[in-house]
Amino acid sequence: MKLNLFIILIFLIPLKVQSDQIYELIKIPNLELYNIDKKGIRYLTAYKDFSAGKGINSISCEKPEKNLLKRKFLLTEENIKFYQKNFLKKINLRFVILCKKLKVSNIPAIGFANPEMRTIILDVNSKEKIFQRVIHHEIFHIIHKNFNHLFDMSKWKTFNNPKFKYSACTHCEGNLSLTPLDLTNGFFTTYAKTSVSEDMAETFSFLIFNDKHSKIKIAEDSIIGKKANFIKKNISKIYIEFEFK
Amino acid sequence: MLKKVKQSKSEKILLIFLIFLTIFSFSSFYIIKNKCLFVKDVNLKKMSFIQPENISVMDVNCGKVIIELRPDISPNSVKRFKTLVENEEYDNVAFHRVIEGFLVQGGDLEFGKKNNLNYLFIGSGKSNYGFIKPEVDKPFDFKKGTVAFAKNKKGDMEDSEFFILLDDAPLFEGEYTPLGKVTHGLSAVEKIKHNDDSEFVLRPDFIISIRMLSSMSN
Repeated sequence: MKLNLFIILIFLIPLKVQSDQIYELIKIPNLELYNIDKKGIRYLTAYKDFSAGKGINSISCEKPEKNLLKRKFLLTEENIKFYQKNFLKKINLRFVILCKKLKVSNIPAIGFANPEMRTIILDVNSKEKIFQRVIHHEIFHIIHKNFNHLFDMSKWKTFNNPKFKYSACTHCEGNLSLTPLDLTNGFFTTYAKTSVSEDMAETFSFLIFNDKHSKIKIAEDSIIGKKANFIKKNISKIYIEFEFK
Repeated sequence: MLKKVKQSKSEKILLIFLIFLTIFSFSSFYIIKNKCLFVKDVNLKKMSFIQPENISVMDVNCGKVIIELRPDISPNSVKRFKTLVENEEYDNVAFHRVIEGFLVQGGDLEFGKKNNLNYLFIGSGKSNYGFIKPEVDKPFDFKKGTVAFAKNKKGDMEDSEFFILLDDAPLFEGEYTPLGKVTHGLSAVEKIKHNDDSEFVLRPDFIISIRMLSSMSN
């Protein structure tokens, strides 16, 4: 019996020993601390290429160049400054990983959120404007996961044209564009049309980013206007002092 | 008639070398076998403590380990730890998870007991005392020797499992509840059995006992 158990164990515990504090916390190897900001957010980067997770949540990323990393770190810090320390604590965001050529289930991605590990991962290789918006997009995924009850998906669907159906494919080619649409029809980007969750995250990111284009679309497109109000109302339920720009 | 052959100088040197090699081999074997040989013994009688009510003494294979508990930092968690110690719950419980040079973890009261060791579920067991919430808000320096409660699988509660750091881990601040620090006998913790290929240990070392100093002097 004991021999059987040993044999089972040999096959069941192929865990490679990872003797580092970051791996212990978020189960991603080859990361090192880059910076800790005043809000307690820990910025991590890859000192070596890494891959982690399985199936749809498998991720891989590469070690970024120093200059690129520095530039994107400053940009990330600047964007995260928008959120108050207590808000970040409440939504349970703790780690930001900055790396290059991020892939999620083998498909290139600009960002990825892992609410369980309180982590967002960002690809420093992306264009600055999109990169900044993706920070807020991923932060929304963390919020959504932790306050699921506030963001009623069926209520959200009622804002859309009754004939519209989400494509339900966040990884399909042709659906990945994050470029702001001129003809919005209720959606800021093509990617927002993939699922309710992505639509909410895109709306939130445009609300935070709040450039001229976003302001016009929120005012002109009644569907987007309703969605923006829904997000604002529920974010204030999480943190009453939250102020959109 | 046999002619007496005289040893050459080089043969004499070779003989002396072989004798030394034999002595070295036997002594090395003894040293390797006795992993506790260079562990400094902790003598409780020679020690004095400012707050003896917060001192617990853990007995492991290589000697005694003195842990200074910090109820001022984590009152509820230290209270839980003291309760478990006072009820002798940690006696004969395995150090089931050991990462050499980083941490030693034990305290699974359900699947880690010596007479009821369950390799398949060890690390996921519960005590009969229920979960408690982590206390992570007060600042604490997670240096080598820190003793802290481990979290459950979901990562939001604690029970009885604890770990001892064998290296500094500043990022653990705000993540785990500190219970206190090892003040003496950390070298005995460093000798706890580990596996090179896996963080889980087959045929692990066990906590012989943990007692509060106050109960030992009575």
